[in-house]
Amino acid sequence: MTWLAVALLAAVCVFMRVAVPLGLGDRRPAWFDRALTAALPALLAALVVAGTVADGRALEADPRLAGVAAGALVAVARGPLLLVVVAAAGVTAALRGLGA
Amino acid sequence: MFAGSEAADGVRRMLPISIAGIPEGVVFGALAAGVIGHAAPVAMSVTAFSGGAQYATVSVLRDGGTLGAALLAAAALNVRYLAMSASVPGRSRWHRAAACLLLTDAAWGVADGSRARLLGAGATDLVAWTLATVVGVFGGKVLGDPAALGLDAAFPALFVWLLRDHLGPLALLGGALALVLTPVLAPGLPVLVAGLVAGAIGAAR
Repeated sequence: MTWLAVALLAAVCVFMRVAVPLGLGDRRPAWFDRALTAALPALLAALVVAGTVADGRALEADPRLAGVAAGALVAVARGPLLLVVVAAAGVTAALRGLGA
Repeated sequence: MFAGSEAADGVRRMLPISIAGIPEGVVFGALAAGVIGHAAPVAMSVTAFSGGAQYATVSVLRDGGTLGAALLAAAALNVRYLAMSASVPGRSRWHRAAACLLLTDAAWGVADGSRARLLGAGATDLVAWTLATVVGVFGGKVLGDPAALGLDAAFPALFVWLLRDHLGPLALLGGALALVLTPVLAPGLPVLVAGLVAGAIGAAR
């Protein structure tokens, strides 16, 4: 059961990654490239929302929100990625330490 | 830019995110070792390479649920890769698919349309995730709750950093859709819907 689960999970995860590149073929129509260009900002923003206020299906304003906001300030000020990540984690940890 | 330096760029950008993800891998290894032994969690981290899907599978096995339900949850959690993998470039379909084996949310974001950067970032993430799982499996609960270190905020912070050059109506739409759909759809699906809706708008232009 355990190794069957490992094998089947691997199959599912590999399928999700390669199905589209394999199925698309080598010629991509122009509208498809326009779709990808438009999807990029929406995907990024959705990932921000999912990681910041989602907890399963619940929406929660917890210390992550303040942490990510701190990271966003550093990002808008053109700070490096490392500083953005440290600011976000640091503020979140500090607020949790205070019991927020 | 040479492909080699782009791959190194992917590694360099990915490192802080992969390091922030280590405690999550340690916790997964510790939890999974109690359910499926020592080797299986490590094999899972190498072959499935998907934290959410691995958690879902191990918790179903622990609670005596059916494997089908676990796999369905894993598929739903990773369905957004269908949209992300479409943007990975390469010489041929096999060339693109091979790179997509290393696809994660963060590696896709870091890659920003470069196959070499995806390879560098994805490989960095795979190594860190697997090593963290090994530490968790054998070290048990050496770490406390990763949330106490605020590391769960590192991941969305990466996407904020990437988003700063893509702000506009489509970003607003994607964020709003994720916000509205989170309570009604299974985790993983709101991101896919946001990508598909924005993609449809782009295609129709």
